[in-house]
Amino acid sequence: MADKNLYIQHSCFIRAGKVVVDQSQIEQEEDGEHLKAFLKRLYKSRETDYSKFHKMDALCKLAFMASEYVLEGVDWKSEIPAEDFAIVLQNRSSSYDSDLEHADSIQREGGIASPAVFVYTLPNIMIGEIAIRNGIKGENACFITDAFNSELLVDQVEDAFAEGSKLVLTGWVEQAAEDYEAFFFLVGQQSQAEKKQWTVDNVKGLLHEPF
Amino acid sequence: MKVLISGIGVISAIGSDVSENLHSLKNGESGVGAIRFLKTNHKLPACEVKMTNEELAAAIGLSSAEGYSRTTLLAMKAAKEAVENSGIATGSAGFISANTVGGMDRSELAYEQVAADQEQIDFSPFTTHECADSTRKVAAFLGLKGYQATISTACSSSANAIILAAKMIEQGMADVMVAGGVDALTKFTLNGFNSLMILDSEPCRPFDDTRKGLNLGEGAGFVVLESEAHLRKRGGKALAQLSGFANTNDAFHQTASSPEGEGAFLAMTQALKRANITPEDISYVNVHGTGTSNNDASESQAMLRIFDQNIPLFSSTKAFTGHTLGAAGGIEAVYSVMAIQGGCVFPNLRFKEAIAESGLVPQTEFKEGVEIQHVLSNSLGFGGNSTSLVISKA
Amino acid sequence: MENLIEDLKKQIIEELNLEDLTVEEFGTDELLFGGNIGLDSIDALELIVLLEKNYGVKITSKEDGKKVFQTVRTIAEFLESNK
Repeated sequence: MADKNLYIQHSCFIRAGKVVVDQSQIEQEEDGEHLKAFLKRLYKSRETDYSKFHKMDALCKLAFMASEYVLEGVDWKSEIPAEDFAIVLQNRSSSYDSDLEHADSIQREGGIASPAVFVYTLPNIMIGEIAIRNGIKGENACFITDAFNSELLVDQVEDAFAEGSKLVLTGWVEQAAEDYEAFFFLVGQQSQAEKKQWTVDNVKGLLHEPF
Repeated sequence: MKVLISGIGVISAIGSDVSENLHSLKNGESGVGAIRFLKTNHKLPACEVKMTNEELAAAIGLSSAEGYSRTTLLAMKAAKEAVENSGIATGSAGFISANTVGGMDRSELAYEQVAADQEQIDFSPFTTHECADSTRKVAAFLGLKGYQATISTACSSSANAIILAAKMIEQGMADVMVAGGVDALTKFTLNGFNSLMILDSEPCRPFDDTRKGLNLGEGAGFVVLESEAHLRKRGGKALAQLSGFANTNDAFHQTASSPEGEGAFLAMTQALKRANITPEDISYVNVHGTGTSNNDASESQAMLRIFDQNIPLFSSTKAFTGHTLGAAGGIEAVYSVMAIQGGCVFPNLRFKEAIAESGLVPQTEFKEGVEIQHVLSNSLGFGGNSTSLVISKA
Repeated sequence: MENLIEDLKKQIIEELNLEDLTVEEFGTDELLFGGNIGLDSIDALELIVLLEKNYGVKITSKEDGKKVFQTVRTIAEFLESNK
């Protein structure tokens, strides 16, 4: 059942203050820079015109930026229909930050819930944001796991291809207050010498590279 | 490989098991009413399960509800019924459950104490907060020792749990899985949906031209899925077949559906394709039909795009149960099986006038003696997540 | 009225995270929805919360919101008439 001819087209790691795209570091957090400021700087540095970015919570901003890097220069729209592009993500803390902000606002005396905060109290909203931004309409799922589970991710992506997906954006996006970690992979069937195969070992290998 | 449904279990505002739910659906008895159990200042109608946590615990043979979130208790009740209904030996069975707010109900009770910054804070209530807590506890309670996962994709969560379980069986990774979802009513969701101004201050009217919003509900719904070979071998009985499913993204807005219903259209189209049937084969559609202006308009357009002028019998059962969020897909999958078994279609309560733009008229009376071959069940969630299941006669 | 308009612009930019917009660029008669400002349905709900929190004025339906939230000027006029 598993399609073994899958390759990591691009990867992006945003963790420990660094942005690494296709195994090269392209950005670094400044001393004392908070996550939100860091993400805003990343957004500005790309001269992206997408003002909705500023309305997102930190989890979505993180996922959004990782997806921007991974999809940079990828002209998938001319190759495949939008419903053949799937998204599979994993995280641990769900939408903890926004949950807390929402809970705070309604527990306060005379508190009024903010619709703009409530919108983000679901972890799969980050998938929605990426889908809206790119017009991706295929299968999409968000798994909450105790820790990153590469076996589950590799399985799910293989399954998406077995079901007819032609391209899958996948990875791990975790954020709670200032703790964050995101790594995204764009998985497809194009093989070229420098592209790693989509296997548990290769995913683990990339994770453990010293960047 | 065929994926068969061999057991169903449900708890909602209209009953604590399958037969009570069927009774209410037959007799048009809605579960909507004033909020009795949840502590809130809001005077909004909702669809609460009419049992306290202690009553829920007693119903499943627990000596006390202490230490359990309402979410977990609801899930235990419905999953237990599904397992018993199927007659499976639980040992190797997997469990995939879905919810959106986990043990929020219990966390909210403890939150005030923490917010007041008392010196002696008891943090134990928060150990049940995370979404996977109820999955783990239900699996342990029922002895489901196979693969376990929790899915959270907003209001389509439990339909996606059923899809994942079905795929595992199709691909030979499991023989038998229990799948569905749960959510308890909380201040968190009540205030949140209220801030979005999509709660009706009166009982909701799905697909009606004058609809003003949804009523929140709570409950749980689970199905037992089995491979045909496994079911045969143990001599079990199939209630229905899960013949098709699909999950897509509307890619339009975080909380609003696209005017043309793209996500729902793609999900229904692909689910039909997978089931290898045409739109004319569908006997009944259990629509998502929340009662919000946006959802029902968008879903109507998706239906028109698929069925054109030959709209099959359809209804939203959310006028009975309210919108149970992470439980909705599970509860409605159970109702779909009940429709097949009973040869019946459940009424769309409180409908008077068709939406002007689409003119779609749902089934408004309980209808018996119908040959139900294939049911399409839609679940559409925030984040654009759109899911359709095709449940067919076995 | 002018002070109120300026305050409203500041609050809207702040609360709705309109980072790419300044008070100077924010036209008093510019359409909030469907034009350059490009607000969406969630922003409309957030405006309702803003008016309730900062001015104690309640808007109870989306339809009323639509009338009031055309431009910053229509919001200011609504607040003036509801003093």
